[in-house]
Amino acid sequence: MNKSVIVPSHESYFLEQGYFFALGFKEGWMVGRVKQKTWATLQPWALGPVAALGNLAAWDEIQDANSRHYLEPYNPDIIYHTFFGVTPTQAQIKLQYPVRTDIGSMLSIARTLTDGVGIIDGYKSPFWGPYSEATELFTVKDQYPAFNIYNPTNDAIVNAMLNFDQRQYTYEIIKDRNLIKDILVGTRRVKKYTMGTLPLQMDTPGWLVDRINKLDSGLLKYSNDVMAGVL
Amino acid sequence: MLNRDQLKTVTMAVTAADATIGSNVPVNMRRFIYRTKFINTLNGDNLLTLGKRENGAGATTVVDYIQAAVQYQMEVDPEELHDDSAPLYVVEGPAQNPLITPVGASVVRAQCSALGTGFLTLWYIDAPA
Repeated sequence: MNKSVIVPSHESYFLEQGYFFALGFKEGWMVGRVKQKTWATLQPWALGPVAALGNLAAWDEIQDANSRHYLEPYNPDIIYHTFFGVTPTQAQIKLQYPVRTDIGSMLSIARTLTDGVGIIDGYKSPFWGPYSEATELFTVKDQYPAFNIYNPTNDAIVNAMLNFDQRQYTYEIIKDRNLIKDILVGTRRVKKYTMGTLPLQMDTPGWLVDRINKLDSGLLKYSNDVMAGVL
Repeated sequence: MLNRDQLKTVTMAVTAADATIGSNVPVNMRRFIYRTKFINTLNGDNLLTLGKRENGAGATTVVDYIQAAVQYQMEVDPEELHDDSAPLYVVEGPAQNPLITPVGASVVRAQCSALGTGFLTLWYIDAPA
């Protein structure tokens, strides 16, 4: 059955202006509210040819000739919220976020590109959507993912491609501790997103730590204490 | 799924020399061929060889054969296109991004048997997936 018949569109996962959200870093949660929203697409992104039973020689950081990453906000005032689909259907995408950190593994040992662990293929996330929730990426300045492919078939893939659908948000950092507690563990329906893998590997970018500390130097620790049930 | 308003057609005379049929497949797209029609203009039997060259390949890869026994015989496949029709053949265009330069064009090729001539029409859609 066509996946679009049984799965709601990924577009329902995008945030609206005024929504609260929380991004989980190693040092704590950055809690914010969406101020403005706009859209962007990258379609298609060619990952290129992949030999039968082969993979890309290098991880693709989705960047231009000047090393500007398409999935990394160019401005710290903006957050990117992205989903993607895959073609051809059999291409098995492996994801690192942040780079050199595997996402989707079930084992603690380093995964290989051929082990079938942590793959997103076109069955799971079709090129024209609806995209799998597993492809959801929140990215902030200084953080971006990297992609590789394994071709599990005995025929070469001429050109594996990704289709990115993105919303871009400007945001306000929340400093009200009661509101932060309500957002993180209360009944309020809020988008919470763990940055990277578990256990948390992604450091809060320095510029973001500075912004949060300017508001309240204990906010990141406070958010972790709230989540830990200490407060 | 077939979207009828995206369908394009190309008609070309085919000779005994292997030749390109239609335009280059766009970069980062695939040419989904949904329907073929071959009219044999040779006074006798004629075998059309349908092929492709992907990424600037110097040799043609045979995709299929279409046989006509007598002059003016017309072979159409399929008879009708439906919304859920599957493409008969796929020819893949080259990859391109800011760090990948296309290595060469991808095209459909065709030729008739020795001394043979005919007309080939293709119905196709160019799309990434």
